[in-house]
Amino acid sequence: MTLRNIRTSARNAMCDGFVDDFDAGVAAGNADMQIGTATMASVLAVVDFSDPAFGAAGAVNPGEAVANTMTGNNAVATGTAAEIRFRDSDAATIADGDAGTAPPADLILNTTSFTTGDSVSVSGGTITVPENG
Amino acid sequence: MLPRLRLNIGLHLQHAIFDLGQQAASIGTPDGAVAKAACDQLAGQFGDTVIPFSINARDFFAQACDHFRRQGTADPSAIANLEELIATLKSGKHAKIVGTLNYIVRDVGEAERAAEKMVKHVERIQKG
Repeated sequence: MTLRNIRTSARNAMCDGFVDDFDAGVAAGNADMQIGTATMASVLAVVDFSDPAFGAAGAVNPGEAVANTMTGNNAVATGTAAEIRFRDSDAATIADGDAGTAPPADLILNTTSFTTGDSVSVSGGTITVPENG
Repeated sequence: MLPRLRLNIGLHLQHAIFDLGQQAASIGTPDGAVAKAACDQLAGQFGDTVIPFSINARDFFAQACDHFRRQGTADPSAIANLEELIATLKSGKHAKIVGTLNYIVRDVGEAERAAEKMVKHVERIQKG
């Protein structure tokens, strides 16, 4: 069954639970986002989250948590970005998403062609639990 | 202007449509079979015409790097030279790649499971 019209308090609670998972673990404060090729066969670059990774859900928009400053790094390989992977502080996978140059990709990039040494950064980010699941 | 360099290629339209049909059929579903029949019929309506088009050269060579890495058979120095070519096509040794994250949870259950995991994590901490 697909849930519909989830009330804001529930969306915020679920979103907080989701983003708080980033900060959990023995090595708290080391969550990151890997940017990789299709099926994450190769990791092209890594972007680090702050500690905590996100602010409180609902602070800006209902069901949405805004990422605190994300620190970019240089690309470690050459290839075509297609997917992203969120990892918690213990490097365990939280969720995967898509990378591309236009929606509906989760991570919108100015180019998906990565070359080793490229400066990779993410200017901002949100995670949203939608009203209709 | 180097990032705008494009590779000019072309495809035989008849062959391209036929190939799409083969892919659809390989899925093995009834709609795949319908799509194949439609493609076969359409392919028969065209002559052996080559349709010219172009693709972004930088993207093509990045895909080539993916391919060679997966194969694991290419000379590392050749791949390094390919990387150098991509860097040149970017008009700069190290381009700036900027992204914006807008992740929407597809499955509410995914968020619920994460929330439950957090509750257990807090309980563990409280128990010491």
